[in-house]
Amino acid sequence: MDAWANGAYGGDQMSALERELREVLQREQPSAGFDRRVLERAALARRSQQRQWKWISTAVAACLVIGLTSVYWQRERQAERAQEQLVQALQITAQKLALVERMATKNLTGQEK
Amino acid sequence: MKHLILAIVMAGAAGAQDINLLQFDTLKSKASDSVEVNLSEPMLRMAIGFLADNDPKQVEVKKLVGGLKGIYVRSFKFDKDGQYSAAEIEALRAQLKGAGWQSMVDVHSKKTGGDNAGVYMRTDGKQMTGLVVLALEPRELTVVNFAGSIDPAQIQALSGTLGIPNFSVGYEKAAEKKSKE
Repeated sequence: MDAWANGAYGGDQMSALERELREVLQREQPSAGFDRRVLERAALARRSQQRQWKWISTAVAACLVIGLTSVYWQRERQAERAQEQLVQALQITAQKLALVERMATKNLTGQEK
Repeated sequence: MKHLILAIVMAGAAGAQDINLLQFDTLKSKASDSVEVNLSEPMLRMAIGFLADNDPKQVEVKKLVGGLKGIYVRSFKFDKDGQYSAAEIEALRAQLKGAGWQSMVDVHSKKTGGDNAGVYMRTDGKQMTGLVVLALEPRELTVVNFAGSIDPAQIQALSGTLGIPNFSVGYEKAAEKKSKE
């Protein structure tokens, strides 16, 4: 005689458990429109990720533009300052060369008294 | 260590400079007006970078600056006489008696408040490699140092523009006249 079949080893309990498991694990048909909802949610997630990347790339591009503009602006300011200094140096030099020339001419012609 | 770093920085700053102008730094506090120009070679390149190629005067400036390694100016105006010492000037003139330097013009007066000026140039045998203009008046002291290849006539070519007064460089004629006398 088979002891399992007679419930000698708790066969009734096992069947109940088995029944419950079967019920719980029973394949259920998804509700109507489930696939559409899944696809929509996936598309939404993808769009949000794309938007995030767009923001990041815009921020990086803006930082680059600001950085490059500030470097260019700084270089231009430096160049302007250098140009001002150059013109000032040339003006002073020309004035002083003219002064030295006057002094030398005065000394050579013996006009200094 | 700090002193060493400072010395290296100062040596770097004075690198292209033909002469040492540090002795004039103390005059800044006494002066009522002062101008200090320190244009190293990269700064000069930067300064001419924005000049137009179609303007003859700006092209002249480019040509003039093209051969230069630096321009250094110290100019002081004082409210009263006697603010700078003869020792400071002699220290500068001593530097200009060094190798390679020669005086083009030297106006020397022993009178108080008399004319004192000089134009000095340095050559490498072929071309002018440095120019110093020194002008002393009772209440004004100016030293200009052009390091590199320069011709005063190039500065003259710019007269009447950029606020540069009209003048002529007549040193050679004056020297000729003096030798005839």
